[in-house]
Amino acid sequence: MRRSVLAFTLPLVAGTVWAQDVPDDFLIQDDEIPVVLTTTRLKQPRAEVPASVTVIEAEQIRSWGARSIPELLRFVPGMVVGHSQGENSDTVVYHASVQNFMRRLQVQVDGRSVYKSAIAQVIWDDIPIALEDIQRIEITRGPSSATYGANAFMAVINIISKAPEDTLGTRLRYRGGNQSVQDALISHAAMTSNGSYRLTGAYYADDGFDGEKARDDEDLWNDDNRQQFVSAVYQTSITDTLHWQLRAALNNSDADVGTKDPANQQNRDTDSGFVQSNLQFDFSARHQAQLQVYWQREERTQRQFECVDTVLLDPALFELYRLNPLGTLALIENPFDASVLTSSAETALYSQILANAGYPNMTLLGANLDETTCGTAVTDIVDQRFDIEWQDTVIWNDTLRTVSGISYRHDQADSESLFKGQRSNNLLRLFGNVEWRLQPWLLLNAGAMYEREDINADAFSPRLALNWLLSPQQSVRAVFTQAVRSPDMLEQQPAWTLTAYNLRSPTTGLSGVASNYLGLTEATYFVSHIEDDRGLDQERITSIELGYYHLLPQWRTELDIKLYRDKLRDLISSAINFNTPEVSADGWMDIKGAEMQVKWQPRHSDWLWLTMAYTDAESLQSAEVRISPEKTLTTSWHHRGDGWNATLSYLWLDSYDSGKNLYQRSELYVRKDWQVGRYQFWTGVFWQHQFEQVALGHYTQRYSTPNLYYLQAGLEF
Amino acid sequence: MNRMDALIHMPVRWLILLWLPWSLWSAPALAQLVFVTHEPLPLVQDLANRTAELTGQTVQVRLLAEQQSLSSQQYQAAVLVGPQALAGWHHPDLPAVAVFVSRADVAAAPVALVSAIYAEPPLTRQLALIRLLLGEDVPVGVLLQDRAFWPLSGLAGLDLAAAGVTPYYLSDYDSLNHALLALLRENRALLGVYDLQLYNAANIKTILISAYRRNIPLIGPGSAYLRAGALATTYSGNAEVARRLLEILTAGLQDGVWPAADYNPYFRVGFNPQVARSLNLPVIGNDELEQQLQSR
Repeated sequence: MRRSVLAFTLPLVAGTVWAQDVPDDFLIQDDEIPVVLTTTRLKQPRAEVPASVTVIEAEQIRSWGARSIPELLRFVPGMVVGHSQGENSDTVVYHASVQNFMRRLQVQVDGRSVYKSAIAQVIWDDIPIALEDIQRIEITRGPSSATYGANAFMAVINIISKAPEDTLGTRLRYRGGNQSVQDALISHAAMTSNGSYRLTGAYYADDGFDGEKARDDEDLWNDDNRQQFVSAVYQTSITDTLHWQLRAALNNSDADVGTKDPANQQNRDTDSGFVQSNLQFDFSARHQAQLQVYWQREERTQRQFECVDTVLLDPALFELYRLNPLGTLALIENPFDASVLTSSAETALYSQILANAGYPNMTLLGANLDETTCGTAVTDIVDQRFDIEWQDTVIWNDTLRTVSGISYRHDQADSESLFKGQRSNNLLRLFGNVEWRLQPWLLLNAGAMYEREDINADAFSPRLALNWLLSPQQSVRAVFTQAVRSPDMLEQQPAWTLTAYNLRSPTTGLSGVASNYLGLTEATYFVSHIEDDRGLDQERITSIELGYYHLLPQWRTELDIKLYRDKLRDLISSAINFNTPEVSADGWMDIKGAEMQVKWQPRHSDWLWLTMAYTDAESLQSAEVRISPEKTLTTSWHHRGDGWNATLSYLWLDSYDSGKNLYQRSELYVRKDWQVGRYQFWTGVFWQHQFEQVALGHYTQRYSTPNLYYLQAGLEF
Repeated sequence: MNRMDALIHMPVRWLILLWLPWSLWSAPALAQLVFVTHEPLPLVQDLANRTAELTGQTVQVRLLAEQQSLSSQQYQAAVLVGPQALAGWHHPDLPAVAVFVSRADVAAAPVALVSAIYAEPPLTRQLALIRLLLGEDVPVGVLLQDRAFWPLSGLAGLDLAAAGVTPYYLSDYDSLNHALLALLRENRALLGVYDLQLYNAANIKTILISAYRRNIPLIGPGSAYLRAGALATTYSGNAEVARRLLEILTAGLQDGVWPAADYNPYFRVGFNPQVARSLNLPVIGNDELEQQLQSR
């Protein structure tokens, strides 16, 4: 597995061995039983982890009965789940951030980054993994560019899937509920002569939010979502010390974006796939390396049906906007005030536009300027990534461990509408981390990553952490980190134009050249964003964190507290959309606060999950803090009975949207299992109740009912 | 690699060093106890030395191949060390106590023994160790090859529901992975049985890695598995075997009542602190665990 903050453990004390003075077994040879859980295989004790980490295990995923990964992340202290209006995709935010794009958190699935390069963001529906196949989700709450590189800016979500051996057999599951929820899963895993494999196919569908005015199960908002994928994993041990994993998947997601108004409908359709190979070399019990290679490709088409004034499609107006954007916008407001024009070339284009519209025949001119043309604008992009990484872990002695490596990444985007062709970026990374046990009770972690890429300046991201062990299960940690987010290709080097096809007149119904006075069969909207290089700086964060971790075995309680102060600079806070001509990296945000997470297991059959967060986010850009609640509380109580289990949860988000709103909801999931021979049947019912039907993000993002529910049933054999 | 192969591969100087004391021990002399082993082993000599020290009797170590030359006039009792010595023993005249043999080995012994000390720790004690480490209500899974192993497991008399223990039989599943999947899905600890065929070198890798992926520890089956990655086990080394042997020989030879074959009541605890810390479990000292187990 790729490096992680939950990496490997070092012996507690120099010279400590695995078990003191234990003699060999008389009946077993010294070397007959191999060392299986070598030091490089063992996870780091939580008290020694140099960061704030929340781990969601498969057991919690199953207990909460959630449909999607963002729903699970609501239970992480400091995390809020918003929704991108333009993408129709959930946006997970840690502390505070704009919700248009989820671009300040890194997300990895089995070491593969699903953070897109051309348009920096994570689209959850494009990730081909079923919740049933997830072993655990490790969330590093804090900047982690020193470990994961640029874009691990405010947090990292590391999704680790189950080994095929842990899902042997066939699993079927169907889920249906209100909001048109229709999900299905089929999965099969088996052993082969020298390895194991799993194939999973899944389908998810729902009709999204219902809109601001919707009542009584109405759906007035056009944001249906559908995802379908097949994924495969094969793993084998080539030798005792060489292990290989091969993963591949094909995914299709289809989302409606916008209102139900037929004159303004949008849809995005994405086909994606990847192939990933991981070779793990166990050189010795204290030296391990990994070679990871993956290639991923995504083809995305966004269609938008629009009707605009025909004059806005005039090629001369397009050229005029290129020469004088603000003057052109002013001219559209007041078409006969030519004083905004600044050159003879602009004046010539202006004359051309008027002539095209019929000038000096004023009757014709008036009629043409009132003419509207409709068409379908297509934004398409093919995004590809090739990534190769070598990572080396060495435990030098009982007090020193290093993780180091090098990686190369090539990103390429092909899009006529966004880039007028092709953009590419080459990224080279060098990284290293030293874990040094200065004293049995004091652990130092020092790490850094150096990155060189084509479209952004070089970046150096350091991290320094001290863990002071008050006892083996109790520690105080102090962490200093700096991280960056690199502006993406669209932010840095856009060539963004909007061309409409299938032109049609809404008044005459004529299509093609007859649909508009310009005689166009396809037309480009006059606004464009074309820049060779905007020269935007990387977004930067400096974070100071003081944490406390305590495991109380007698109480079966695990407690983690984090106090922090983050300074974010050079933020690109403006919306990245077609209507925002200026993009600058001059935003800032200061965030300070406290977080706590507790897991209490009074009995094996019960657990309590409790998180609390206080966030004080200050920024001049209101979009940055809109969905950032000042106070949050999430709690879950789980009880496991004989053949059944139930989980009751409550979420409370106070004072988000500049202190104006309160969001509360409760959830209940009950599941019952039956074993009949080798067949295991199960069924579950999920119910969610929202106390006040307020939108968490955009005002349209609300349901027409306070109750969401679904039933699910499955068979495993 | 069997023990003889290992010896063949040992450096010559070690063979010489081993041979010298062996030749001294095996010199004909009048002795009260004879330790029988299938091959020369330092561990056997150490056990013989300890027993001699505790009992005050003279002790000799002889190879199994020499058993025909052993007579009841010459020795009061024989201590058969290891399953090979037990399996090859055909000397009904001499009272024999077997040590470092499993309960299954004793059940299959070709001649009647007057007593025996099982090599494996009793599973009830291993279970008590799990309770100490993980809590009273943690469900525990036990993996066995098939139902024939259950009567000899040491758990047969247990109220399984009350004890929170569920047995899983490998023979019921398509593979070891399938059996582990069922066990690990429903339990929070894996109690290892001292079945060296099941817990062999190939299987232990699958068992430990599968369990660790789910943060489930393996307890037992013996001290040799601690190094592999088991969390903890109780075990009886030479000192504990010698101590129990003293009691058996004293009862048998002096009082004429040989205690029945049984588990060794004297034990120590082996604990793997690295695995414990990695599983986020408290690190407890071996002595403390021993004391707590003794007091249960």
